[in-house]
Amino acid sequence: MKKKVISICCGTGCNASGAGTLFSNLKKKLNNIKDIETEITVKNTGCHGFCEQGPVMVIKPDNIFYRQVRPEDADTIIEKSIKRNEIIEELLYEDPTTGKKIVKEEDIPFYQSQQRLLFGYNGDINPRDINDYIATGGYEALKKVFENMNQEDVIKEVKDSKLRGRGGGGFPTGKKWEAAFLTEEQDKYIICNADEGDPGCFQDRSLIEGNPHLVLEGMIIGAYAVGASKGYIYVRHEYPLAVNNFSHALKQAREYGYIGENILGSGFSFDVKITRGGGAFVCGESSALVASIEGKLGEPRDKYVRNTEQGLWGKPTVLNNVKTWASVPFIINQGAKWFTNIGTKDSTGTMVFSLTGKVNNTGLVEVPMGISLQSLVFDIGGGIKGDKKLKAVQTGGPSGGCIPENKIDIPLDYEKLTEIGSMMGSGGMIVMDESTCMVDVSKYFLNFTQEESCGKCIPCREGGRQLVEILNKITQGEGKEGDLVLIKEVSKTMQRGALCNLGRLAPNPVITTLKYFKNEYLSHIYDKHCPAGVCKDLISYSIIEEECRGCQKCIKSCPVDAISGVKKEPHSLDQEKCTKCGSCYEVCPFDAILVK
Amino acid sequence: MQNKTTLSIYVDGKKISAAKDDNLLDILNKNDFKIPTLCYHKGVPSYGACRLCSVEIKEKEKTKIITSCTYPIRTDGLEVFTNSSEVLEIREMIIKLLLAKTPSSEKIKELAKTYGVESEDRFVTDEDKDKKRNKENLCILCGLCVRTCNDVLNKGAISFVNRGIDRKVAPPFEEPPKECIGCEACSVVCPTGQAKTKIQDSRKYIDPWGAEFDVIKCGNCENLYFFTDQTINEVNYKTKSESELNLGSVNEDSEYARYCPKCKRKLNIKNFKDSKTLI
Repeated sequence: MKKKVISICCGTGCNASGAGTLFSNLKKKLNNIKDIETEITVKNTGCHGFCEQGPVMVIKPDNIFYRQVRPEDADTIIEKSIKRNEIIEELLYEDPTTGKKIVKEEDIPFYQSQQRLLFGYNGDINPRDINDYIATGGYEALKKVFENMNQEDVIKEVKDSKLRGRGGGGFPTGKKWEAAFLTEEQDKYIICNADEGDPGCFQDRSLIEGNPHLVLEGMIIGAYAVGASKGYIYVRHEYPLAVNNFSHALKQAREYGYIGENILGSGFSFDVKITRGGGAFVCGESSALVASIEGKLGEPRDKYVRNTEQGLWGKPTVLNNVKTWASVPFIINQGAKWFTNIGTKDSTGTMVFSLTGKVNNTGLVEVPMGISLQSLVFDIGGGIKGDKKLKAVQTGGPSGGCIPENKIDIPLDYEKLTEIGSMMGSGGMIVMDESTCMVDVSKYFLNFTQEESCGKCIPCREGGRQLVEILNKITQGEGKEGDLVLIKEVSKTMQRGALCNLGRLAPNPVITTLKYFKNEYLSHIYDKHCPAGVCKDLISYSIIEEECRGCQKCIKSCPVDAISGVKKEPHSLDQEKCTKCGSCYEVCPFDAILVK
Repeated sequence: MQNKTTLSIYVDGKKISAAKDDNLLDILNKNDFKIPTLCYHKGVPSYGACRLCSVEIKEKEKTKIITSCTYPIRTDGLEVFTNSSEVLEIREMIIKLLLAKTPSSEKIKELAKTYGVESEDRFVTDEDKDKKRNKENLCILCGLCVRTCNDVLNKGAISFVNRGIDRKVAPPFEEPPKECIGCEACSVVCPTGQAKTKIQDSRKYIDPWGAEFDVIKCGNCENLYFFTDQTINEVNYKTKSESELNLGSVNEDSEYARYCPKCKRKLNIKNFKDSKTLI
């Protein structure tokens, strides 16, 4: 009998657009059909990554890719694609550049240039079924470790793989494990940091939601290597599906003997506990996270004594990011040498980016380290939305920096990004087009880090606040000579003097935009002009008489009655009344509204 | 105590010896280096919040800024610079930021004067934002009161609440804290005088937390003195094993505890002369 699998993305993004209902609709309808010769399985899987086009679905084994599938499409899909093996044209993906319809998942440019390692099985497995994971070769690495490797072997393999911390710091993972392994303490802990807090980032979330056992297997191997008998996973409370799927995974793994007492008869015992974060960005910082698990105030401490020496409850602790743990089974299975062949010499393996902003294909993207930013934005991202020009890309989240358009060919690895003032961070990537005001952008990110600052140390709490105030003044047309010097001075104190990396890296957006877009700051300060037309206090709307046909659309849309005029005659705009909301600009069909 | 390894460090070129894991700030203070601090107190666990004690260190050809109050000395030959241009810049900026945070604080003004720092007029001050509420606010959030109450006395009557610039010190639910014993330790350690205690008409007021207590009379001379019943209970509880020792002429341990310091001293002198065990 022939077999077909309909795999529906039920990640948080697709679910929000109705993937859950689509799944149950299909399931219900298939149960009622008896007259087909094919065995059909419907699977709700984790995130497929192409969130822009959600809900997405792949029909295997032919890998037919449907996008923006609505729950009511279930009937047509069964009638045409399942029963008659036909392709439904309307549900196919259309390449925005060529206009061609694409049938197979692997032919879509978004997927073509990716190397999906960690996310490779996300579209194949049901995250709530351990057997699905085992079918992909899951827990083989764990068996290999128990059968053939001692603790030193595992650490050596991870060290040789040159795997680096995917949380952003890029610290060599093997070195970290070794430090904890070599301590004389008996009690040790490992922690998985899933407190993903950068705006627009969701790769850790999607991995835990979609393939929790992969992360868990990595953690068990890590625990064995360093000799820890207890592990914690610190997940955001705002990620209910991740918490749910991971606790389910823990339950199943316990039943199968992958965690608990005497794992697979090896004599090694280990278990994992889930701790939910309370919604503080700063708790993603390792020492604050540890304090939070201990039930203390989630604020960082000076880390002159590392966690691997004195971490959770004062015991040696290895803390790694979700993606770091998830990389471990691959390294064990296929060897360090294989892993070092992916990526660059010093940044090995793959990196997952959350591609967002003014780019055609937003979503989760997994690429080998060292791929150029150009390729990521244009080949995978499909270029800038609406024929606009690329202006900059913010990498590394709110603590990262803005990379200008003329540096777009840089390879994405830890060193190169740091060199030009940005960073890898946890993989956030926000693409900005020419309509973005860089002063406004840096104000936005500084506002974020300032609001998320724990407030413990003066440089971060007070320095961050003053930076936001100065930027506010600049965008309100109250900038003064000397402001830029002051920004640099405050930033320097934060960068070198703040307690943790939240405060130290917070000035990055303003520092990099000052470096690459200084003219915009100067325009704001000296000409009282916002070149991108974003900062409300520095722009005005007016009507171009020659272009206005008197259609009255703007009059209807204006919430404060600032526009007046009779039909078919040029209208006029009262500057006194105008609140600069921009709705007239949005509705005008003749481009007769001028923003200056 | 185990013998600790002795290390040599070089502070501004001067060779100093220290034991492994010694606190850098303690060593600097011991050797008469002038390091400004606000959130540091020798009797309270280090915290590293004010960053004023930042110094520059050189390790393996790399220099970095660290806070001496939280830094354990571990490297032999560590080079420390207490007055490098980086250190001075950071110190100056922190004082400027504090001048904007609490412009009325005499302590901060004095600090600014000592280090020749003038206020930055482009900075927004709390008083600009909310004149009434913040005029009297001298809190720089150093956390000494919180740490003293929590880590030293184990009382937990106050804690930090909120985050970022909204952070402040407050008792639970901002109500007069039941856990407060009126020991005044918070006022004693407060560097700016924000945590204040006043005694008026045999009542004691721990100002910022809204706690009030009766002040007790000396069990001997009947003069009012600063202790509260709750403090006496705490002392008795903590010193129980010692109070079970011979108490000389005083039978009840609580009674002796209720003596004012003057009377305690008198009693001890008397006991000493009578060759009795000292209390």
